[in-house]
Amino acid sequence: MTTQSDTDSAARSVTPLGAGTMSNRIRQLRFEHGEMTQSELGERIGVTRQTIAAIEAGKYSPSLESAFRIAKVFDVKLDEVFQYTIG
Amino acid sequence: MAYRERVAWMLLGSILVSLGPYLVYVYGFQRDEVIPMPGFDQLKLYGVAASMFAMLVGLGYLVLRLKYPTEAKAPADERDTTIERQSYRVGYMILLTGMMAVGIYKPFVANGWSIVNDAICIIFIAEVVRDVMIVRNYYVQRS
Repeated sequence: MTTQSDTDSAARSVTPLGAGTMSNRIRQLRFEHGEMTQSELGERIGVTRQTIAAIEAGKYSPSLESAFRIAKVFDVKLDEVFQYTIG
Repeated sequence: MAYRERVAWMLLGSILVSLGPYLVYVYGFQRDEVIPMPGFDQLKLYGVAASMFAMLVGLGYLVLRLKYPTEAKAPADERDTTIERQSYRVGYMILLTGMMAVGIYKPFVANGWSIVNDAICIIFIAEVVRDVMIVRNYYVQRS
């Protein structure tokens, strides 16, 4: 006999997402905002210039808070700065 | 290059040129010697190496602070903290495992300066691995 909880758990079973890649538009957004330097952006969100360079190059994924701060600086939504592509 | 990467390079260089030669001497030339405690000559030798390390580190920090005053005053950001945490974890595990071997097992099979030198060697390895990991992580995220 199938119970309600069995049905619920079957409905909840999902395929895990595969590995993805992060990309961002920080360089373009900096350019569109008066050619803002990496140092300026870093100062505004509280990280070093080197960290901004690493984020921009996709070598370092920022914390969620820093990601939101970057989006706030450019006055855009988070997904307009960072994109995540699966597969 | 990030300020903390420069610091890691400085610490790595300092330990390699100060404690490195001491350990090469101890494990290379004194390998078959049994040096009983207190062994003041050995203590003097270690004292020279440790003092040299302390002086090099002090001098290194001074030079870096004078050369990069703004970066030296800035607090570590999230990337610095992440790299530091990863590197410390590996260094700590090496230190913990090594110290357990030296402090718990070694007294049953050896004595005198052999135990002390093994402990110094473990500290050396843990610090070198930590510094190398910091340098490597910054390098990977830069290139």
